[in-house]
Amino acid sequence: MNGANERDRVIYLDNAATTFPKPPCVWEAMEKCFFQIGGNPGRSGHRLSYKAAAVLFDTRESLAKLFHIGSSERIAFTKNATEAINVALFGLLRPGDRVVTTAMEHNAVMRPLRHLERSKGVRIDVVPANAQGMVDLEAMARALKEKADLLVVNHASNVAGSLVDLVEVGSLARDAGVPLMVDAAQTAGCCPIDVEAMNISILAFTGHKGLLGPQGTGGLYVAPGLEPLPLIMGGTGSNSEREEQPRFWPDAHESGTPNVVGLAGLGAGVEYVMDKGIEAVRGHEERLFKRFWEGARGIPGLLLYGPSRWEERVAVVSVNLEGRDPARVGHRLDRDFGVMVRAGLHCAPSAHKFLGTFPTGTVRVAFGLFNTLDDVDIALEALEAIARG
Amino acid sequence: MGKRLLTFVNTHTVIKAERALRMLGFDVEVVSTPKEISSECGMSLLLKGDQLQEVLDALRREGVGVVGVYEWSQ
Repeated sequence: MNGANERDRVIYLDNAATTFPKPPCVWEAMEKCFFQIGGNPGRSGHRLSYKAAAVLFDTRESLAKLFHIGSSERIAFTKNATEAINVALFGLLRPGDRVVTTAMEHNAVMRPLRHLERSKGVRIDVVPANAQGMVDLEAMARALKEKADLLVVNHASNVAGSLVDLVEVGSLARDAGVPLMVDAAQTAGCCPIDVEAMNISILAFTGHKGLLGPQGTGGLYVAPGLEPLPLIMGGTGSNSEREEQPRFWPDAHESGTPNVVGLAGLGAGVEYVMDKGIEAVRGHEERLFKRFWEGARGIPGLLLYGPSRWEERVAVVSVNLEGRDPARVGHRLDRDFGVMVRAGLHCAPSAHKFLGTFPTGTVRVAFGLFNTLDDVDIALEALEAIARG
Repeated sequence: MGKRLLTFVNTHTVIKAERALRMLGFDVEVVSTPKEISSECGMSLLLKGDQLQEVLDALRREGVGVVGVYEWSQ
């Protein structure tokens, strides 16, 4: 047992669940929106309604710039990546459609897909991964030889940290004439994403992870030509004299009053990331990862999962202490050392099966922009102490 | 010719048009859409100068769709 200092400190290494802390510009933008704007966007013509609409406009434009999206109106805000994924899958897939996806998908993708399989007869082919969580792209190319209606790919695994090469996958999708949908929950704000260069037709992202916005924000981009049916319908402030849902973007997918305060924060987070530069963010996370990986290899009984090469991964690292329950290890890290991680299964059962960590799970250490090398060293010392004790 | 009111499908497009036209030096103002205009959305763009054709050409170049053009009476 360690002293009060260790127990009280906060070494936050759960950035794959949500990033913490957020930069001051994020809460400052939210405070300004809350106290000085406060109107309902698009519902009225007064100044505060206009200013609220301008907040949404600016956030949309910033996201379009970050992801190289030509028309920002093709981005609809959602409350998270899960909602964005649901809008796309339920809105686009029809009975008999065939979907090719991967073994590394989060349940945000697999649960809607399995439901559509049962309820609508959507066919699903899952491309396997290796024991490091790297998706087999040759198998994906073979799967795409048969006619498919959608290719759904997790950009980076939330369990193994393994990346998918979107340039290569985008090229496979283009050759097969299949729209590519990317779940960027773990990579938006941490890795370069260019919807044009990567041939991405659908991009689902969350606002509260790498984009540094508050929880309750996210969004969906859909390329022109693909028109999902709205999942939720209602008031949009537009076409008010009609009882039919508008078809134009973003209104078609933004019924009801949006989270303007949250989206003000998201816009500030995106600008912060762009000012810093994605390559700089990635460089920082590379230093943290390499320090951790090297140190962890020297801890007796510590098992590391996922690819060892930085080029093939993000800074989300799953580990286990041989013979130890990850939940108990996670609890001790928090209670005795002030180190916060996520332990257990990480909402991606298939990924755990390919890594050989099902059903026990892993201890997931996820670094973020505001972690330091000292944080890494403290986590390593804590893991070593638990391994020995 | 008097002032003209331009309407758009939604607020996003109103702001897009406003930003683009201001960048090009046009004198525009976002106003509440008057009740008598059957508009797609509650905000419209008031064009103060006498440059309607130039404005419409500029919006076309920017890919901004205009729903309607009305004479403005205060």
